[in-house]
Amino acid sequence: MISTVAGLTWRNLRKVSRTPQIVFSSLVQPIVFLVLFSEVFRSIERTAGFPQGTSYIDYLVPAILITSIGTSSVQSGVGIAVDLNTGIIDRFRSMPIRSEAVLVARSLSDLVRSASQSFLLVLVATAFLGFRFHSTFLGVLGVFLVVWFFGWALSWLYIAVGTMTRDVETTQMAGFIITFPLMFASTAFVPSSGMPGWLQAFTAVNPLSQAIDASRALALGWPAAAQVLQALIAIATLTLVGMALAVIGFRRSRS
Amino acid sequence: MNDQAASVEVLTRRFGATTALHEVDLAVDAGTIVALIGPNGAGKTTLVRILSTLLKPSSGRASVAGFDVVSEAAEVRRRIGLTGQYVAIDQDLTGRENLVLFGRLLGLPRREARSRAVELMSEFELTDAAQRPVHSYSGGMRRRLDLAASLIARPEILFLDEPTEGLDPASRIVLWQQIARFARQGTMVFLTTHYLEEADELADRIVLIDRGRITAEGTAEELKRRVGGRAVAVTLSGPEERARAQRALEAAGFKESPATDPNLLYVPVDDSAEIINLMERLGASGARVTDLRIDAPTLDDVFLAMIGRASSEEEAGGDGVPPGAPVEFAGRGRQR
Repeated sequence: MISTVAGLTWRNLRKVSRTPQIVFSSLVQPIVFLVLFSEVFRSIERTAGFPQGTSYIDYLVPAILITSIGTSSVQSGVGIAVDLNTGIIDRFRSMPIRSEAVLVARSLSDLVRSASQSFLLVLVATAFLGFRFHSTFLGVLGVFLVVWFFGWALSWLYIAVGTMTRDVETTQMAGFIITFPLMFASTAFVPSSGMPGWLQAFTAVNPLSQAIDASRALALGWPAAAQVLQALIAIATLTLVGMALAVIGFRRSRS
Repeated sequence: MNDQAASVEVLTRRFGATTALHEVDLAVDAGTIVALIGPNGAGKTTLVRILSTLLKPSSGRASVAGFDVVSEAAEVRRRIGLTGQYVAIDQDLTGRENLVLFGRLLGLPRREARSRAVELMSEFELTDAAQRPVHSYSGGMRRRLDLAASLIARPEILFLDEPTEGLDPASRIVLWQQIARFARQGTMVFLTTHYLEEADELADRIVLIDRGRITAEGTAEELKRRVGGRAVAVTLSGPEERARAQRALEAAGFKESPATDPNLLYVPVDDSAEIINLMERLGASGARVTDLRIDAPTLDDVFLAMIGRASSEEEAGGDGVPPGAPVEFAGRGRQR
C-alpha cells in the first residue's frame, strides 16, 4: 500500500512539475487578497474591537494562509474527477493494488503542492508587506501544521465531492459555494466582536474560523491552547467525514 | 481447470431496470484469441468489465485463470491485463514515465520497471517518442502505449475492449500484428469488437452476443458454414441471355434468388459439386456470360443472420455500423 501510494503521489507531483504555472497562478488570488485587504482594512487596527498593538498584516497573513489552502484544496476534487473521466482509474482497478490508494495519493500530492504555496505566501508577505511572526520557532511550526492539516482535511472533502459528481465543473462550483461564504463569514478579515449576533454564532462554529483563530494565535504568540484544540477537533472531523464519503463515492463510481 | 482461461456460468448483470447480460454461459480455452462481437449495447463491455473484476455480476459466476472474479479478484488481477475502450494512460506524463509508473505499481523494482519500459517501448515502436508527453502522441501511438502498459506484468490473459476503435486502417493493421504476436507468445487474448473484419482476421474463436445473450460461437469458418452455403453470381450480356441461362439452370433443379440487376443471375449452391454442375449447364445453354463470381458468406452475413434486424436498426443510427459491411453486404441482403 505504501509503495502504491508513493508511486501514485509521484505521478501527481510529476504532473504538477510539468505545469508549474498552476502553482504560481493559484498564488495570484491570495497575494491580491493580501495586498488589497492589508490596505483596505488597515484602519481597523485603531478600532476598539481589534487587538491592541497588533498590525493588520500580522493579523491577516495567518488567515490568508488558511483561506488560500482552502481554495486550492478544491483542486483535489478536480483532479480525482478528471481521473475518473479517463480510463486510468479502470487500469488501476484492474491491477493487483488497493485502488483507494489513488485517493490517498491525491490528498498527499495536493498537500505537497499547497504546502509549498503557503511557504511562498509567507515569503512574499515577509519580503514586501512587512509581515512578521511574533512567536517562537514552535509557534511558527504550529502555524504551518494547522494550515497544512486543515488543507489536507478539506482535500478529503473535495475528493469526496469529486468522486460523487465525477464532473470537473460541478466540483469547482461546489468548491466556490463552500469556500466563499465560509471565508467571509469568518474571523479571517475582521474580529467577530463587531458582527451581529447570528453571524458571531456562525463564525464560532465555522471550521475555517476555528483554523484561522488557531493559526493566528500561534503566529502572534497569543495563548493558543484552546484555539488549537478546537481547530484540531474540526480538522479531525472534516478529515474523517471526507475520507468516509470519498471512499463511498469512489466505490460507487465503479459502473 | 487451468486449461480454461475464462468460464462464465449463468451470469446476469443488471443496471437498474436494464439487463445488460442475461444468463450467459461461456467457456474459453487457454492459448487462443477469442473475439466477442455484437452490436453496440449488446453487453460486450459489461462482460469484459466483469471478467476483469471492474464490475460485479448481479448473479451467476465468472472465473478467470481458475479464480473467481469476485471472491478471488486479487488473484485474477495478478494474471490479467486490460486495455479498455478509453485510453488508460496519463496524458501529461511521457510514454516511458507511464510504463515505469505502472511497472512500479505492479511491484517491479525500479531498475526492472525501467528496463521493462525500454523493452516495451521498442517492441511497440515507440522508442523515439519515449520522452515525449503522451498528449503529443497520435491515436495509434496512444493505443500502442496503452497495450504496452497492459503487458508489463506479462499477463496470462489480456482483455482488449474495442482495441482498434477510431484508428485509421494502417494503425489498425499494425495493432493486429502486435496482438497476433503476443498471442503466439502464449498470452490468451479476449477482445471485443464490432469490426467483423477484425474478428475474422484475428480470432481463433468468435462469440456472438446480442442483447445480453450469446447467440452463437465457433470458429469463423464454422459460423460462416452455419449461415449457409455459397452462391454463384452470373452476369449475362442482356435480359434475353439471362432468361436463357435461367431456363437451363431451372431445368437442372437450381433455384435463383431475386436480384436487382436485370442481367444478374444469383444462384445459391450447397457444395463444390453443385458449382461444377451449374457451370456445365451454363456452358451447355450457350448463354453469353460476361462475368462470373463465386460468393462465400462473410462474417457480415453471419452477423446479420444471427443478430437479425432489430439490432441492425439500432446500429443504423449509431457509430457501430460495421465498416466491413458496405455495399456488397447490402446487395446480398436483398438478393437472398
